[in-house]
Amino acid sequence: MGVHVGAREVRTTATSSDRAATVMATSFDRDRLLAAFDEIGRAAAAAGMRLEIAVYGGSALVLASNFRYTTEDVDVARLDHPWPNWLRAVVERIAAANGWSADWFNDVVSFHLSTLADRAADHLEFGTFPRDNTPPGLVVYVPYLLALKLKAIRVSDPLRGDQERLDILNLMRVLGVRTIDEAIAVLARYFPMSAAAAEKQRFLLAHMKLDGAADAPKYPRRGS
Amino acid sequence: MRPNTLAEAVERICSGEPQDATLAEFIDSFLMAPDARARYASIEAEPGLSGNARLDALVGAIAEYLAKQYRLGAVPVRSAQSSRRLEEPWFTTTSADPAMREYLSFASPAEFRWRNIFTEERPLRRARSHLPFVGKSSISSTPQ
Repeated sequence: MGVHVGAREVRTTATSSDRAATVMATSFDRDRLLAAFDEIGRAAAAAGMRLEIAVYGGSALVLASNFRYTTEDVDVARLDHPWPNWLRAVVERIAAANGWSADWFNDVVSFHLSTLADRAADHLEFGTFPRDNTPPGLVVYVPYLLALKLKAIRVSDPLRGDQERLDILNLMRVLGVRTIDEAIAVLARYFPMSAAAAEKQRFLLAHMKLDGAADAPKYPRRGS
Repeated sequence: MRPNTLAEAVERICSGEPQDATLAEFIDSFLMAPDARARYASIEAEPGLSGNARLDALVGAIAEYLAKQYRLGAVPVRSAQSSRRLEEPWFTTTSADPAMREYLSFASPAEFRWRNIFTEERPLRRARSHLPFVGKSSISSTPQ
C-alpha cells in the first residue's frame, strides 16, 4: 500500500476502553480541519519530521470537493506504530481544544484499502502544512475515492445512505464517469475481485435516484 | 460529545441534532466499547419515544440488530414494543424505482423487516465495523 506515514515510531496508545471512555465528537468542517493540519504540520516540523498521510472517506471529500462540507473524523491510511510522542501530543491537544473525539485522527479505514493502489499514480497531493511560510511538516494526499465508495456501496443504508449516494454521483461527475460499465472499471482498477462480482453495484447504480448531484464540482487534478 | 448510548442519541436528535450523524456516531461508540457488557449497556436503556415513528422504529431495529449481530447474548426487550413498528413500510432509499423496493424487501435483515423497515442487507456499516470483537464474554441473563 502506498502512502502513508513518513514519520516513524507511530503508535496509538489508547486502548479500546480508553477510547470508549473519552469519546466525544463534533462534526467539523473544512476550515477547522485545515487548521488542525496546520497544527500537526507545525508540530512535525518542530520535531524535525515530515509526516505524509493519505486521508479517506468524508474527510477527503471535505478537503477536496465542493459537495461535502462536514465529517465526524479523519480517516488516514495505516500509521506506523508506535506513534511518536509529538504526534500523540498534538492530536490530543487538538481534540481537547476543539471538543473532538479522542480518536478523531485514526487509521481504522486501513482495513478497507486496496493493495493495488499506488502512491504516485493513485494519490493526489492535496497540500502541505502549515499553510504559512514556515517549513512544512505535513503532506496530505487524497486517494481513489470513487472506488472505495463503490466497493462499500452503502446507498440504501438507513443512516447515511443518501449522503453516500450523493458522494458517488458527485465523484462520478468529477471523474467523467458516465456509465455503469465505466464505474465498474474504476472499481476493478483497485478492487478486481469486487468488480468481478459487482452485481450489487450494477443493480444499485442502475436503480438509485440520479438527481441531487452538485453542479460543477471541483477536484484537485494532477498538475493543476 | 459523541453519544455513548442509544437513548442519549435519541435525546440529542429530539433536541435538534442531525439524526443520521448522531446515530452514526452512536454506532461508532458501540463499536469501540471494550467488551460485550459495555456494548450491551450502550443499547440497554430504552430511548424515549420521539414522536417520529420512523425514528422510533429505527432505534428499536438498531438495538435488536446490534445485539444479535455482535452476539451480545441478549436483546433489550423493550426494543420489540409495538410502538417501534411502523404501520406503513419505509424503504430506506430516495429512489421510487419498484426494482429498488423489491430488492430492499428481499435484502432487509429480519430485525428491520418485521418493523416494516426495508433496508440493505448489511446496514449500519462503519469504517470500524471490521474491528475484531474485543471482549469474549456475553451477557449471561436476559434483562427484564
